[in-house]
Amino acid sequence: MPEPFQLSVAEAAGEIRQGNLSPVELAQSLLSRIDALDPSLKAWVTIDREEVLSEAKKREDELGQGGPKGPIHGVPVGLKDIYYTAGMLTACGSRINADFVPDYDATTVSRIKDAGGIILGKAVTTEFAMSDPSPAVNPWNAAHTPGGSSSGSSVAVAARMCAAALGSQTGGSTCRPAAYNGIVGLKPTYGRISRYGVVPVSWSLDTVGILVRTVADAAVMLQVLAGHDSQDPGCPDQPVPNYLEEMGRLNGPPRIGLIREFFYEQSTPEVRSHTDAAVEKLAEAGAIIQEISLPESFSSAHSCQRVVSNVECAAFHEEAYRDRADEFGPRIRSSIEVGMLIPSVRYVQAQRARRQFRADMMAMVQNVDVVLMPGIQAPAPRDLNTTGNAMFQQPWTSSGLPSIVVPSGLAEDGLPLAIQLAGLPWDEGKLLAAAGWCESVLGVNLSPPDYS
Amino acid sequence: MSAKPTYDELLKDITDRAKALWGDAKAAEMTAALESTARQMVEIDLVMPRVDVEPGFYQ
Repeated sequence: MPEPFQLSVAEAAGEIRQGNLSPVELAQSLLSRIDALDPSLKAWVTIDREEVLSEAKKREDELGQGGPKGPIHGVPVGLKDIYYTAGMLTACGSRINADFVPDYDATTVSRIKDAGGIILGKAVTTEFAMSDPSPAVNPWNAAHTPGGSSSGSSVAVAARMCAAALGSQTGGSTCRPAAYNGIVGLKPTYGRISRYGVVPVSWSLDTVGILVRTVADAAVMLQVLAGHDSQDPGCPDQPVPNYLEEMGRLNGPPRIGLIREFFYEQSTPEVRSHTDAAVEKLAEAGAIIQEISLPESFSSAHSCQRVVSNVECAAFHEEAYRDRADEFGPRIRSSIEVGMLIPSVRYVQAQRARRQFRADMMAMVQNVDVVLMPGIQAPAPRDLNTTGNAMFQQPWTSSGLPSIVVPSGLAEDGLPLAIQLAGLPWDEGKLLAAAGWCESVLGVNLSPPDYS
Repeated sequence: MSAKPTYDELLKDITDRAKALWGDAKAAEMTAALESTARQMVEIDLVMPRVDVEPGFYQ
């Protein structure tokens, strides 16, 4: 067996179930890894070692008493520092929330615990999950941004400091850092996972994101987290299938709609040729590739996302802004201020345009199993003052359709590249199945060389 | 006046609001953000759906 810290979620849970690995041994391995790497990577903000080891011991005892509590029994999971954790600091990378300790767990945190998981700690986020960069650095090259806003969560998973972490996405904050760090990032359908107890950027855009190293792990984590929550008005009572079973249900290679329009135009030549090579490999393995066109409403998708996000961000932070404006970072402050100026009619028009856009995107995806495009325009920028560009993710967040990025190789500068797939709302099963098939055909499993 | 507000009208509207809230100096500092926001609002107006499409908040 490899070192425990190297195991995926499914592998670790399997070894624990079979009695080959103790939850305490796994937790100690990850904590030692964090001790060794985090001074340089800066992915974590709060870790309660005693609590982690105490919970791991409880999971160990439970194995002997009644067996595993759930599918991730004994597996530690990282949380972006915007998830409410009872009794644990939730600072949101901000001065405003520097001392905030919630008195309850987010629904997602409760579901991880109910499934036998252990909260490993809080991962660094950009300030309130907006675009002021966090201190985390890219494990592939410390001079490059790890992306954001789920920067710590992505770095932690990429550098094997945990096998799974939660992020969130309002623009591109799960899938973009996943792509920049060479891991899998899943943004499910809007409302598939409860947002209750997650500090918002924008109520009508925010989506809980999953950061892992394999598509199968994304399915495992989605199984744990998905489902109706009456505490979240945007989380409806949609059936939750067995995602691992759904992954095995794909009858042969998928029908893939390739979107070159916009995504190729905005990509570097290297990303374009890399994506073409990946698509050729998928076609050679039997995928039916069909180039498809974007709807007319795509032209305003990014603007809708910006207008809605800024207005809702301003509404959430209004009170804090009035009292403590100077304590906000420059970029979130700018978003709040712009949001305060946008007329209400323009906000409502943006929400109307979004509704039409969602319908148009669903019609576009309906004739194929999934659509495919490059995951990022270019590798992670060599600039720690930016979190990169979210323009390849924003349309999927704005429309609420589920999307996933899967590593597809390395660029000339040695940084990861990725493909992005998207599917129909509530059909994550098919999306995961197609992504798993692509992952298997491409055969890319990335590990940062300095942290392997 | 056209049926939909123009870029110049939208920019003037939000710039006036910024001046009223925070003064001329701050509004001038915000010029790039205000111009970008005005462009976004114009882009949204260019592809508005039929009149019977209601806003979607929870998608």
